[in-house]
Amino acid sequence: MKRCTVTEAKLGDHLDRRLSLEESQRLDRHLEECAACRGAYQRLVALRTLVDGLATSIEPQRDLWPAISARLCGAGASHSERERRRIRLAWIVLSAAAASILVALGVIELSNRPASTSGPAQNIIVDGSPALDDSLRLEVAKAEQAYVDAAGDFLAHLKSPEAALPPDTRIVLEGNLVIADRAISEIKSAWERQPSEFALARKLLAAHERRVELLQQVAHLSFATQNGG
Amino acid sequence: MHIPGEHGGENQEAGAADEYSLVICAQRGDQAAFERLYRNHVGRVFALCLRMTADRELAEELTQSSFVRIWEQLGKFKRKSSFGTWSHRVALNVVLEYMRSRARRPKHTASRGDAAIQVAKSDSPGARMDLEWAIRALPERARQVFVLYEIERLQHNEIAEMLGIAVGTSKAQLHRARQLLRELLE
Repeated sequence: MKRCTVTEAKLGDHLDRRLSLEESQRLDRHLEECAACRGAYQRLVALRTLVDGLATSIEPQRDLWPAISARLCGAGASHSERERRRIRLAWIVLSAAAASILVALGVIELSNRPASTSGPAQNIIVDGSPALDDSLRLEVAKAEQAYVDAAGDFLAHLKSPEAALPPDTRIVLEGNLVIADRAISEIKSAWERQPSEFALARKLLAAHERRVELLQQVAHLSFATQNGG
Repeated sequence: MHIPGEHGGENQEAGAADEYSLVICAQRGDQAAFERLYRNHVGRVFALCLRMTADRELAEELTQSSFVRIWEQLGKFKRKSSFGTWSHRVALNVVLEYMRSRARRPKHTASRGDAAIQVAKSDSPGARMDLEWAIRALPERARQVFVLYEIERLQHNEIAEMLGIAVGTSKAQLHRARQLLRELLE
């Protein structure tokens, strides 16, 4: 018997329940009447039943593990390297946090000190010739700019969707940036109030340089983790 | 073969916990733990590779590549799905990448699948073919769509995107595969 070609293309859709209710009912009526289509549809159902009975797994005829294991040796090195970077990154984050706290403590100590003191502070003021004063101010300005640039790059990287830093690490770092900014701002204010207090200038410069170094390392490692895997 | 996720009740939970412990160890670089994961899942991954490629040697190669990729990407496994589901998806991506890269190369003059059907028909006239064998004998594109739709249970829009074909082509290839299988199995 010649198969009804009008509905044949729809048999699969019927099997997959992709027809509308109306189309489905129409096809069911057709299947009751058309033996050829009914037979074709039953074969499709039988095929689906066979497919459902297929094994979920097929074992390879030979053990593939030795070859995989050999290939993992190369991949394993990068795996360890990633772990090493992660640990180093965590250590740097901790160092940054410690440095921020130290500077913050220094600010508190300095802000509690009387404006004019005797002893060591007097010795520092002796160094404050006008030429040296300008030179130091220039160094502080350069370090400040480097800090702003490094912080800007780092923050831009942090905000990128590809940033490889884990969220908790990012939160810690952003918190440290806030602490660092606040500490630097307070040292600067203190220095403005006491321009001849070079201990403040040195602290400010050291704080800037330390932050630039730490932030650049973190940003570099983050990029390395992202690109190197 | 023990496949985590195929137990029942408490055993299933214990199996999943064991498997997750293995994943954690493997993520720390423990290859012995990863070997156990491999043993648990190699059958499913190899079945996928073999059905998609219809070539045992190539399937073995792609299975190896899949497990190397799974190892490399272990850090990305976040337990949103079972390890089996996740690793199967990684393997599928490896197979599809291979097929896309091969599709960019110059095409052969004759379809290997069509040739396989001719051989099957002439070598065993009237014989009822095993379904697994019949699937491997399908033309390549029809076979891929059939495996992805009927066995991997993907939708036509997903298959179309994965294989870089139109949704209509995916449906047409499925229809073709079913017709050919019916003929091969009769």
